[in-house]
Amino acid sequence: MAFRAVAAVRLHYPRDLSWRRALLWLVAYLAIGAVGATLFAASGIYNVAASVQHFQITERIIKFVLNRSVAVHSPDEVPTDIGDDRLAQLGARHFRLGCAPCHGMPGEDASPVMQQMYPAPPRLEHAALKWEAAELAWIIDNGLKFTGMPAWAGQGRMDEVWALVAFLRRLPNADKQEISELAGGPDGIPMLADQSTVAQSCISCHGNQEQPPVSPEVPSLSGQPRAYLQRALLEYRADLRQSGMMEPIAEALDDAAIERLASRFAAQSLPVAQNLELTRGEVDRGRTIATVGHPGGNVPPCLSCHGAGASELFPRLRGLSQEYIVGQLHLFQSGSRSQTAYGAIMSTVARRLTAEDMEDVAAFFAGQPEARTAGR
Amino acid sequence: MTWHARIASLGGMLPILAGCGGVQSALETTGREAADIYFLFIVATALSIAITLLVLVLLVVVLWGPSKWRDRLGSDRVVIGGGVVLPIVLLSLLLGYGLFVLDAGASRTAHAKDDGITIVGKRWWWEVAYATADGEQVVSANELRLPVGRPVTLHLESDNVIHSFWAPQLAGKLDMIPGRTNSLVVEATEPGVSRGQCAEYCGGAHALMAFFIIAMPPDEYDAWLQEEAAPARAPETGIAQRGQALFLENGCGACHTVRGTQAGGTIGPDLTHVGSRRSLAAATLPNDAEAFARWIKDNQHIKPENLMPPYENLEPDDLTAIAAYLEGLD
Repeated sequence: MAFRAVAAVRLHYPRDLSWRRALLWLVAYLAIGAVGATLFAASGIYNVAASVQHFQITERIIKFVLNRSVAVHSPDEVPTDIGDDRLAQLGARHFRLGCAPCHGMPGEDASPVMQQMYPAPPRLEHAALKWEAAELAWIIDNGLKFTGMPAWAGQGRMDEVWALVAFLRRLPNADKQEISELAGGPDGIPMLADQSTVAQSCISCHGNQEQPPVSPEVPSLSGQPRAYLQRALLEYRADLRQSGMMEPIAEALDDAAIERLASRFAAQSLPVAQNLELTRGEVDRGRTIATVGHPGGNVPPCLSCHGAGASELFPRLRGLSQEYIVGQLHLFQSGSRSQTAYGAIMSTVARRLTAEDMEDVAAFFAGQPEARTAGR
Repeated sequence: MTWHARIASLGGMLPILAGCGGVQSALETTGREAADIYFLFIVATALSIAITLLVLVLLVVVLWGPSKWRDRLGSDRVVIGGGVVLPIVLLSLLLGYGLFVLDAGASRTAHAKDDGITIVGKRWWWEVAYATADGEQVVSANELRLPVGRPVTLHLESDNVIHSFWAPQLAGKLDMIPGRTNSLVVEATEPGVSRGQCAEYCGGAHALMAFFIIAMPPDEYDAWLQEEAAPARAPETGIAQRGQALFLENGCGACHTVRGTQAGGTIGPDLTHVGSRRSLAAATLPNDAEAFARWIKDNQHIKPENLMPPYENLEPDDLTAIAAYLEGLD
């Protein structure tokens, strides 16, 4: 009996409460609201000036949304070498060039122009305390809407982003002296606009024949063919090769400067004994892949295009660090470095390599610095 | 439709039969095995037509014939004799004959004394290796040359998926199975050019995996094989010399062999005498300089997902020079 009573009530429920009328009211309110909002926008009363701050409540809501969004979107994994000094040094050098103009750095103010942005780019001395490493990486890689923070210019280059995170993690506990050393000494990186000292900027990260690159993620340029170095810079400048670090630098160089720099590094000989640590990979297996390939897997020998006698538009691999070679092979494999005609050739081959092949072949090339011919 | 309109429309279908002829037809045989198969086809078809006609005639008799004939057709003897015994006998004979034809190539394989030709199915082309009298292997691609009147054993292999070797004018088709060598004896009966095709779906470019068969008089064949075994001709013109330098410095030798140069790759077709072949890219393109240039730069559009990278980095001048070099490799 009780069941039947409930059923009877449910049968009459919709008509009695008149939900149609409620819905009508809702639509009317929304319509009035929309018209009101349009009139407000059209009136021009709202002040979009960067010099006028948001209401406190607006600011809080925006920050809440921002914090939640970053927390939810940030990646789960942080690379194991995030504490590596050399990675932090690489990050520091890009920071001084690419980030400090807006964010400032210890002992250095941001540009007064950038300070007047709203929201003003925050100083980042304590960023690593506020944000997790993964959150910082996500922000650097993706940028933040309506804040002036751009996304990373090199698509698919998380490896570069982590270098910056490695540097930001050092900031809270480092004094001015330490920071300055990480970023390349008291004079730091000379401004790119000064064509006479621009090579100093290159050396600061890439090293030269006396000095190894700042980090194994960075290639040594000494002794590479001139045509290849020139091509690399032109591809960075045209946004055809992805790198958030190299693209803005190449952008600042004119054709003559590119040619001059390429010739300069091509004329150097390869530094002997550098920071090449062969901790992984089997050199003998790598040598086989480099010299005869892996025909069963349709992998041609590397040295056909990267050895002596090959086109000068192709890079030489001997003496490059294992980390750099493996990193670039992954970029070729993922398609991040396949936008150029040359990249498309290498991508085809890289897709046939296993992770083990890459480690082994990189170990082989990293172990032979002496063989790269000078002046090529 | 009136009766003469029907006949006219049947006549209109006749040109379709003309499509059964041509370089890739099993009905125009130029090989001993294909001729055997063709004869089996004729016998089976003729028998089928005869029986169909017989059944039609009997049907007419059964429907409209004199009652005496109809009674006789309905008797147990005719029903059992014509409906059970005759099909069993005829089909058994046909089966035996078919099995005999099927086995003929295999039993000739067992007795064949020559070292034969090894054909390997690739993605998507054919590697063709001729064994010479002194035990050497002469590697070529995408073309099969045969001496007329001399049985040759083809060793069929694959290094990737299953392909099927089919040269319709010469013999029946036989699968190329990874990890296994299938043998097929063929014997060309007259000189000439015919075409073959992969007959087992093997991926996106399956339809573009074809080849030409060139049957030649035995003495010409021997002379040709001797030439084929020789290293590549050195480029003579300036443009071809520049082409050779570009070929080597752009790493083409990583995948291609040109005997007599440092190019010794084994992933792609051997190019030592590529200029003398009838086609490029496994009977996909004509063999001329323009096709070479097009293939090097644009091969992924011509034959998608083939193993060769596209060389869009090469300037038109460079492509022309490389094409001139390759065309000269005859």
